[in-house]
Amino acid sequence: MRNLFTVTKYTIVDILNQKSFFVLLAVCIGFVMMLRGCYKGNYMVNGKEIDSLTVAWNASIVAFHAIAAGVLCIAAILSMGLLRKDKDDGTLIYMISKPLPRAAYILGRVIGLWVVSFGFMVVLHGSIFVITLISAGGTMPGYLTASLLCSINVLFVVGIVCLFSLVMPDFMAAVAGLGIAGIGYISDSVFQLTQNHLVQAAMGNKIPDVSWWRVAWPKIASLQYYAASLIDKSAFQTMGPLHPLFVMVLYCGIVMGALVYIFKTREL
Amino acid sequence: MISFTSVTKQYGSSATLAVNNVSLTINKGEHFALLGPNGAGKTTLVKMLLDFTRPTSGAIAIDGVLCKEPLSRTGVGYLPENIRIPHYLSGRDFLVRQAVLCGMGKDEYGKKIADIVKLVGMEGSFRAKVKTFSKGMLQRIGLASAILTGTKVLVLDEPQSGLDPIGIRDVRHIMEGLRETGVTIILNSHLLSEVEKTCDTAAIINKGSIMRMGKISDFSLANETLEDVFIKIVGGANA
Repeated sequence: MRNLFTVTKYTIVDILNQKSFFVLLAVCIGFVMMLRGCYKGNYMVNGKEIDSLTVAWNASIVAFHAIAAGVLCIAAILSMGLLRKDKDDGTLIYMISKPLPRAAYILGRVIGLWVVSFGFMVVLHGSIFVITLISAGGTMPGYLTASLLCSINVLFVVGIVCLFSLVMPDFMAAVAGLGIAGIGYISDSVFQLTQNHLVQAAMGNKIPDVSWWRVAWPKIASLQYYAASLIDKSAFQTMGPLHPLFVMVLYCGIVMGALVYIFKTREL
Repeated sequence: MISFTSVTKQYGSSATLAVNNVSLTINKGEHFALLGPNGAGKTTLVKMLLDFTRPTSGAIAIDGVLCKEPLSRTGVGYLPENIRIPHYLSGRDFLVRQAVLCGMGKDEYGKKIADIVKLVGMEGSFRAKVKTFSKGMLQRIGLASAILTGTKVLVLDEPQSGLDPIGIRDVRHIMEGLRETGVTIILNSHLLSEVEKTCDTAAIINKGSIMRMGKISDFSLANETLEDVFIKIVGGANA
């Protein structure tokens, strides 16, 4: 456990030593700040003026989804070159030549990346939380809890990209990892859409049954929708018998297990 | 004690064996040299000892603990050939990381690092960023890290590579000084004259097999240097 903590700490320090990380964070905060304009306009829907709190509320939900999805890309970018970089700059050799189990090394690297990516997301979600508080004067109690739930998606993406980068080129690993997330987003979003009573009324019995692979696929978007439902207290429908939170925790466990197994048997 | 028992290593489905049925024992406190031309299998032996790669068959153990166990690397220091250190770390940061990964506390490593950087002649510059280091300075800080963590065994892969004549002499003196501490040294070097001066025993490896092994003093006949013997064995085998 001590080894795991040490490697995690060094991973965080290593990433925070990269200037590009802070540039990326500053750019993302800049984009989030641009949303402030949305909170101050006068909006009319069907001739009725919408109050600023409702606007802020909806804008914040949209921003929540955009940030949660965008951070997955950031996590994939941070993860894709980690093991190659470790090999190139000597980190791998100086760590593994110590009495450090390989499992502690690889899990420490993944957890460190996860902590940094999650921190990145919390800063952006926190910015929205603060903007809502200042611009509309209202707080969104479930916002940071929802952010915490989305961190499970981040862990999954970090793990799967690191896993893929052991067996394929870095860029391909990131594309493959994000591809899995992307397919999940499309599948889950279509499902959530079909749960809307307006869509159900319009399509009648033309809504196709959910196929088995969609039920078994990593439910990244479903978990995100579930997290968002904690903010606006909206209804949430689960695809398949298992809750997306359980599915994603299970997938994270499988990915970490595979990562440790492959890394332990790998020639360095 | 370090033991290699019938160790064979084959990479993938390659017909050539990188290491072919090697058995050797290195006793505690011994200064042992692995000699051989490029591609002979020396680095593969070192990699297997440190569990970077696993033998296809056979077993390697340090003090009875199999090398696939992380515990076997307790007290083992390693200086790789062409050492690389993350450029944003200072020499001190690097040494502290090494010490912490070996389970040393702040009280323990603080004094030890100060002594070792003095020993390797880096006391004036070890707080600078590694990216400002010359090849020789990198080699010295690498040697410092190996000594810091290698309380039991030191595995040195070309430790004098990139050093000027004064540096080469310093490394020799450091190795001689370590003799008193009882540290076992495995030296992988092409500088045969240095091996002759610093090591007790050696194994000459070629094409994955041990061609000759024993005390260095027994290697050569009168008027023969280690280099003469090496060329006779390896040159003859490769002819």
